[in-house]
Amino acid sequence: MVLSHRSHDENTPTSDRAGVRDDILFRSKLHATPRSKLFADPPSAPRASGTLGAAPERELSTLERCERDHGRVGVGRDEIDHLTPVLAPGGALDRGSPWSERAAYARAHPYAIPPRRLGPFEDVAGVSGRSRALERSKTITDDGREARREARESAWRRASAVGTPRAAGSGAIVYRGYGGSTMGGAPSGLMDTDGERGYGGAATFKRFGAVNIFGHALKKYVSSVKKWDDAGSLERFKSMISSFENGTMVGRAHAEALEWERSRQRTASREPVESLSAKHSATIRDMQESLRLRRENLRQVLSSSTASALDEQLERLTVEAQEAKVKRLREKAARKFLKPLTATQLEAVKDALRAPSSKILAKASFVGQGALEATGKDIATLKKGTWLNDEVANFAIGMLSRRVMESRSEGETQPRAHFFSTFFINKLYQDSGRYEYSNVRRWTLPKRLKYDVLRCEKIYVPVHQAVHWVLAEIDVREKRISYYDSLLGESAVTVKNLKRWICDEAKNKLDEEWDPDEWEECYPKSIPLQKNGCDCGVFMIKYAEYLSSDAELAFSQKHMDYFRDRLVSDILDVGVDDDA
Amino acid sequence: MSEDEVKKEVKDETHINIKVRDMDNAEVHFKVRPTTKFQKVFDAYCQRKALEPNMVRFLVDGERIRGDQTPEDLDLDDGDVIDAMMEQVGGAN
Repeated sequence: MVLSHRSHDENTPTSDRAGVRDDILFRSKLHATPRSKLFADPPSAPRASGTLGAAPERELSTLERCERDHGRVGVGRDEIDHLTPVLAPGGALDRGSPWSERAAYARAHPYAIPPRRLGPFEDVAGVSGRSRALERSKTITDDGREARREARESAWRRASAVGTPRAAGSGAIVYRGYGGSTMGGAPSGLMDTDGERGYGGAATFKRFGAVNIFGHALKKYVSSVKKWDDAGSLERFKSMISSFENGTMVGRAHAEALEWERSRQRTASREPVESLSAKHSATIRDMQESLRLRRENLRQVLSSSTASALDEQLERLTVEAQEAKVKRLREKAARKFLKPLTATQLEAVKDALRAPSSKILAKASFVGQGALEATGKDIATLKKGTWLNDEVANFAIGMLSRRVMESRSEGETQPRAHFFSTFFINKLYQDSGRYEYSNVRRWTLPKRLKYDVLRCEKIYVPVHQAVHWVLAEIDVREKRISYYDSLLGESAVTVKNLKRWICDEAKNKLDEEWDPDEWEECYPKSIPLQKNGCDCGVFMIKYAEYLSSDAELAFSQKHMDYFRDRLVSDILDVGVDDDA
Repeated sequence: MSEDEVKKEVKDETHINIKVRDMDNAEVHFKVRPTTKFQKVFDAYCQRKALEPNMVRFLVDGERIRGDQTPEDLDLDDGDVIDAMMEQVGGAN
């Protein structure tokens, strides 16, 4: 057998036979006969020799013969014809189930009844496919429907009798497989209209779920709207349907209905009330009259108080506007002092800080101070972290006094402010240890200054307290002495002696008696403060600069390095004036 | 140049007496010609007091005196006082 098998393999071309059918044959239990025998040529003798004159019988293929002899063996997956409908018993084709599979099955097993998929209800109802198919084949009439219903109900009764019979408290049928909470209780909307009550289950519930909800809405609506011939309500009914259909739900229609109801009520309330009795109308008239009188009174009171109130208001507003304006100006003035240095200026500053100590970098004459020179040694005290010396302080103060002098208006001799040099306090009381007016009497001779010191609005006195620079400001108009200490120090002695000087000066120069007790002492606390141990000189100069130009003290410790450079630059800008 | 030399110089001419007063109110008297430059006086004073010249400021009535000025320029009279101020430095309290 092995040999013959081999010889067959050698004799026949195997490539053509390596198809599906070969596989089927190999797998078949009928493959007892050797292949060589199976595929051998059929005997040419006619099978039906008795039929004369008949057409000679068609030659059967190997497969056909195989099928004839042994029955259909099977079908390959890709041989299934999905397109040709095949009528099969059991009504398989006109059901919604996937029929092509079943048709294929029918073709493969012509005499078998194809297994039916259970319909939506049959799992519970237990009605067989065949009986359903028989029912379907009938013409569907009312009678038929009735019969079907009866059949189902009886099936149901059987099923519930077989299964676990349950009954809800309300007496409704509780469907098997679903708890009373899902389907029991109240009968749902449209289901009873079709006469199909009694058929629940998941599929029914799903299929009619949406309709159910809508049915509720419809029912509610029908019960709430009385007039169906009303065009408006019909419109709203339509809008309700459409709002339900496009998913906006009934909420909108509900809101619309509410709105309509409200508007109706509004128009109703606005309608004139005709049936008021005479008594009521008289009462209303009285009330209106009293209201009118009260309004009149109120108007009188208002008009009498308006004039003064308005004036007050106006005054307040004017003051506020003025204050705001002054503040703006002060801030603007302060911004001017923080203008950054240009590259060339910075270069010049660098050079000046490196200059030899004896080199005269600036030389100028200032009112009340004479000719001052700023040498390399003095400028070097403006290096970062260095203590300022008197020369630089006096030069800076001199520049301030020059600025004030230049800001005088045409033909005016009196400047707004007078600046003393740093030695004034020394001569006034510090060096000798006691107050001596005679030491400084000649410092403010009007003949030399060409103006009266005490006629200035402000007098600025740099105070050198051992190793600390402080600024004292004498406000002649306000009669106030302010002591600007960047470390918030206070010096009663200095202020006291300045008061004495003021009074002596007034007596000496103006021949007036000023009372020192009238003068107010002030130690400003909310000022820019020094955060290190070297910048107080810069603070002193900048206090003087900002205060003398009426600027907000809008600077702080972080500006000090810039101010040092700025001071060097300003001093260099004065230049060397040989005529001074 | 010492004080004596200055005195010698002005012996035979009209001269004025000026006082240089330091911070301790100690006075040093100089007799100078009205045309003598102050630089001479300053140098003499610094030498006598053993001071660095650039540490001292000389003031008349609060105004700085330059070395090239003379008593005449400043209208100084006999017995007028010049204040000698020491350099001040300050950075912190």
